[in-house]
Amino acid sequence: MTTPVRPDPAVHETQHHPNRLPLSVDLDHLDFVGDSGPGAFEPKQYSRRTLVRTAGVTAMVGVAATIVVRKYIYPEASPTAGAGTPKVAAVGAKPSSGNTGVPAGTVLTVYQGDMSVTAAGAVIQGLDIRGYVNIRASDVTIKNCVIRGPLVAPSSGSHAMVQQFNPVNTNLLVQDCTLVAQSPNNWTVGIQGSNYTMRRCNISYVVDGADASGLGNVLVDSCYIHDGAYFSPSSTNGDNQTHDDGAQISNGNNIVYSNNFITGFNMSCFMVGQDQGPIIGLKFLNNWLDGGTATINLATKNYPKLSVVITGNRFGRSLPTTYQILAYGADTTKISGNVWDDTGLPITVSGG
Amino acid sequence: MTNQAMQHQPNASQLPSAAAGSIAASALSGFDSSFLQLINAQRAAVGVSALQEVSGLDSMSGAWSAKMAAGGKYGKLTDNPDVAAQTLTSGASNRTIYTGITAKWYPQTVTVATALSLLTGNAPDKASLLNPAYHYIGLRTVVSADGTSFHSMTLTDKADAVKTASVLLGNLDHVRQLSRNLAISGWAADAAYASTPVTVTLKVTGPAGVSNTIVVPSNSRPDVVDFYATKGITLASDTGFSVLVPVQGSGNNTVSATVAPVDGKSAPRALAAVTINVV
Repeated sequence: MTTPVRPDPAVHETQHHPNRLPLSVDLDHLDFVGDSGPGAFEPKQYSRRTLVRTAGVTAMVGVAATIVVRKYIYPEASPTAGAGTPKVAAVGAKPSSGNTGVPAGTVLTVYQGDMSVTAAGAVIQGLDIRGYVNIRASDVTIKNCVIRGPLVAPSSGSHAMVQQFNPVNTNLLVQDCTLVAQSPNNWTVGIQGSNYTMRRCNISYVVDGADASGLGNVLVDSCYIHDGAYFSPSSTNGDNQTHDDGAQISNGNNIVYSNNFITGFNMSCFMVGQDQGPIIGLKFLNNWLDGGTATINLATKNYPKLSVVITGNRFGRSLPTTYQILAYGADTTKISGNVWDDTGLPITVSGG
Repeated sequence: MTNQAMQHQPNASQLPSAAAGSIAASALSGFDSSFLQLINAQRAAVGVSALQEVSGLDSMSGAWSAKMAAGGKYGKLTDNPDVAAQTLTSGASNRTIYTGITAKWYPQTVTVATALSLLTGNAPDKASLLNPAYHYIGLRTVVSADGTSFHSMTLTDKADAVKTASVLLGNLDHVRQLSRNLAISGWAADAAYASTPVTVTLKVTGPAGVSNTIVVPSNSRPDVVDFYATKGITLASDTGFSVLVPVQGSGNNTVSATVAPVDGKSAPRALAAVTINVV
């Protein structure tokens, strides 16, 4: 949902109805799934249902949450930025901050705290979420949202801006969203889990960008995944530093990363390791990749020989790298047509 | 004919400022200042005294951070191999134990709390930060051109007392011609080091040339002592000097006096010059 752009690009946070807000709302038992559109920010009643609409959440939110309704102009808003028109990466367009993430000019409503989505078919849009989003239902859509994670960084554990771990939940769609950690830390990745599609998202300041684990069934397409969070010392790894990757694939079937631009991660753009189980049907197609000790790192580990389709990818040289594709112990027969972006010459596949 | 010039009245501008503490605090960035506060809060929580900042260790740590930062985001985080030697010349010449700690993070928006959690999550670093044997610290975070933060800190058990800056006082009271000499008298002292004599360089510039004479005040000047006592400043009684210096030809001879600082690093103080016509 978008509205005309306001001339002031700065963030404006004003409460709509100070006599009613902020609100502490128990949303556990709401079953309302409404639509959105013009007027969704205009509270009409005092009912819980309206409160949900006011917050711009068109789905049931399954945990107690404090909702503070505030007008928000996305910082990238510009008077001439083409407000109201979702940006769609054209076929072949290299993802960047200009064609991924929340469209400039989108008016967002601040949502404070973590969000747990438990309503099948929920559509969440137009929110600036200051917490984590945990998907616990199928067919959920998140679009035109900024997701920042918590203000106070966790000091342990594993967290994701958006996570869908339970394999019974399917068809999560995240598109035109900006995932940027407001408090970068060692423990938070962009999106994690299985059964999801992510399109045209802008992900940064997280340890990993878009991870796939569990069952698989993941498509990440036309996303700009960049500037990974890095820390040393780090208790997360034996070498005392963050292993930040654009995407880490741990197990699962039917996983595709296509048309993405991934850059700014110390370890790799794609880290493939059969840590939790075999990986089958993994494809890296037509991505722009830059940097990492090994830009693509394939590690068979304790499962059958890893075989990944890697084709049409273009490799940059703006960041230091040791290996373009490191494939020790992996099947390399499905790796072809990968070139340096500046020369078009083939890159080197090491190992095999 | 005798020409005489006379000046004497200590003024407020000659009063020393408040005495400096034994450990000089430098201006840390807001981030590093908060970093140190959080460290000391954690020490306090386990009953350990606060670490006291030493500016020399700040500089030393900053130099190492800057060196690492030159490598940018992909620069390697390394320990300073010269901590042992550098602490000796960075304000902790008397230290018996020391340690250096480094960290690196990206992006720049990482909070102080998160940055500190990196160190407290690392057992050796945490042990050092909470070690009651350490009492002094220097630290500095340097951000590379690409926004990667490199942090270095140095801890020691002891630190040098920082020399108090010199506070130079004095006056060129009288200049008289006696035959082919100039009788020059005055007084000088370093209020920050009242018991240590200062040296005064008397420079005479005349038609025949220039001469420099160094004197050490040793004459009793109870008037000076009494005057500064009213200002709460204690000076030694022997701050006066009186010497004969050859004239530099007939005509105008200008006498200037410069007082050297006891601390060895403050700027010398030039006393007001006196010019007389030598006949």
